[in-house]
Amino acid sequence: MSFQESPSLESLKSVQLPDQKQLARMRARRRLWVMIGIFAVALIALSILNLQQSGLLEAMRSKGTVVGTVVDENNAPLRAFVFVLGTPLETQTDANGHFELHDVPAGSQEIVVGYLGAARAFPLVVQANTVNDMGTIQFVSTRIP
Amino acid sequence: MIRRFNNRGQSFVEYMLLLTLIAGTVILSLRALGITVRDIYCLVAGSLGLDQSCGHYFYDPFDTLEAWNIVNGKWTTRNGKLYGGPGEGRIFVGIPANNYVITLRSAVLETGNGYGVFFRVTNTPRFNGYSFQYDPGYKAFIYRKWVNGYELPPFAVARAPNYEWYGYPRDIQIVVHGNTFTTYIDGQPILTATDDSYRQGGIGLRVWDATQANFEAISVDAIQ
Repeated sequence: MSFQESPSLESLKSVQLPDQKQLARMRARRRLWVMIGIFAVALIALSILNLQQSGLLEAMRSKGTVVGTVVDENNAPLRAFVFVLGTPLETQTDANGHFELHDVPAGSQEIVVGYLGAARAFPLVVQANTVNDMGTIQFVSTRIP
Repeated sequence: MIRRFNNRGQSFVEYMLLLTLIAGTVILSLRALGITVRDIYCLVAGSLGLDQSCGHYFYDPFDTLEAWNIVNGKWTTRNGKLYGGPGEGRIFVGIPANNYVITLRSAVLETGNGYGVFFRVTNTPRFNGYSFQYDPGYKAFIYRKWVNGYELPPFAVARAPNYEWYGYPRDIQIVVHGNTFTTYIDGQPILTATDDSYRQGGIGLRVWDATQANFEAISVDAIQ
């Protein structure tokens, strides 16, 4: 702003400055907006947490395919069931012990292999839009499950 | 620069917005902690003495087995007691709450490997959930996780090699709260563990192998 365009002292006289009461009100209003901001942030964070707990985020996540081969302690193919913990995804290995699980949500998952009532969990980070090969999974039976 | 002042103060809309945000934050916080509206109602009604039945989700003195979903095994009631075994056996009942305290009264293992208590069980008979048991194989108290009816190795173990498990009536109490599970036997804390896999579900009992066990009563109540 050039000097010529700047307001004159006369024009500034007409501006009413706030009194103490008005200043207190403004401060209260500012505090109110700070609280609104804090609760809005908390609400967003809690909404994300609730979504995560409900599994909706999981369902919305991009997906990958998991493949592998299940063998016993003698490296013989095992006809086992394979699940993804916390999802309805499941399949059974074929005669060669091979399995494929499609539409597995990307991220940290527990792949569970079940055989004769006992199960073992294998953690896996599933990459989206990729075939995630777990290789050979050895299912070792124990006397106690 | 001329600073413009607004002297109108806080508006009704701003207060309503803040109240809405507070209400939303409280509701979502409770949901995240697994506390339902019913839990809150029961807490308030119970403390004011308005609803004595509130907070008592299930009670069975084992006069009959009508309440239970018998998935397998040999289960009978006799003289106000439930007898389980021999052989593999599982029974379940739904519970209308996510957090609760299971109290199993006078549980006696007569013979065999043992009995267990299921909690947070869904999707029976190929169920998901947890179990607590004394396992003679591990010589320990353990928590297991179950996936589609398959049992995983224990995720929590408390060794108790010389524990007198046979012939003694034991009161077992399992507190299921959020992702934390604590078991008390005859009032003594035995095992605490955390797991995030399952957030809701009912309860059940199990026997296996040559087990013969009996139980006097079971109740499931809100956490006080």
